[in-house]
Amino acid sequence: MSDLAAFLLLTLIISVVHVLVTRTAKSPPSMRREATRYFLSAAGGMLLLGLIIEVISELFQ
Amino acid sequence: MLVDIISANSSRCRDGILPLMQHSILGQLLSSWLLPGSGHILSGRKNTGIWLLLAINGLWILGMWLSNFEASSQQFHPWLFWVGTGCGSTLVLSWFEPASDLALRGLATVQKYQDVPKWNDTGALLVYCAGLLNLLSCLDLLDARIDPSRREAPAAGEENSR
Repeated sequence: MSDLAAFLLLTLIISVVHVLVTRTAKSPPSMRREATRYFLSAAGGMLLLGLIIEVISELFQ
Repeated sequence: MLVDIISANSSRCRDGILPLMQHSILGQLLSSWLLPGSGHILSGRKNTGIWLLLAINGLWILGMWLSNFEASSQQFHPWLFWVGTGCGSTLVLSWFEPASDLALRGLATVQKYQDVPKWNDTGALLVYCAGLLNLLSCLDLLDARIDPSRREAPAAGEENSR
């Protein structure tokens, strides 16, 4: 569980910095909303991928 | 007399190091390297700078605390240390070697891998990620100077034509 917390914290910070350094004139005005969207898609995608790998490894054991 | 001295000194301060750092890209980069986010604040992007300052420095401080300052030690992490120097404070801290006494104690107490504190590696990882993120923020500062048009709002007609 503590590893998950560290992973989520790191993903959150990376999302915030990514949004801050890639902002252009065409970016949405709300930085928070954009960072949340990146965080949810990055962390959610990686967790989903991990879950799929876990399920496949369970199936083949 | 005293008022004259004060006003003379305050005008000297106005021509001092802060305006130089505000206008020179090298000053901004140096400032950002030493204290992440400060270069953005100096360049006039205060909101971005404050967010970067909180995010990268928070990560760095948490990492240093969890790793017992081992992340700033070239002795413990000879190669990864250079990734951490993306934040100048890691290099500055390495001159003082705050983890050197841990190395001496470690010889006596660490017998197997499990003796190393659980969060040690996580802390080092956080510091090295902070170093890489700070390099990214320094590149952003440089990019803003090279091509400022990327951040400017498009003209009203241009937006409507799309």
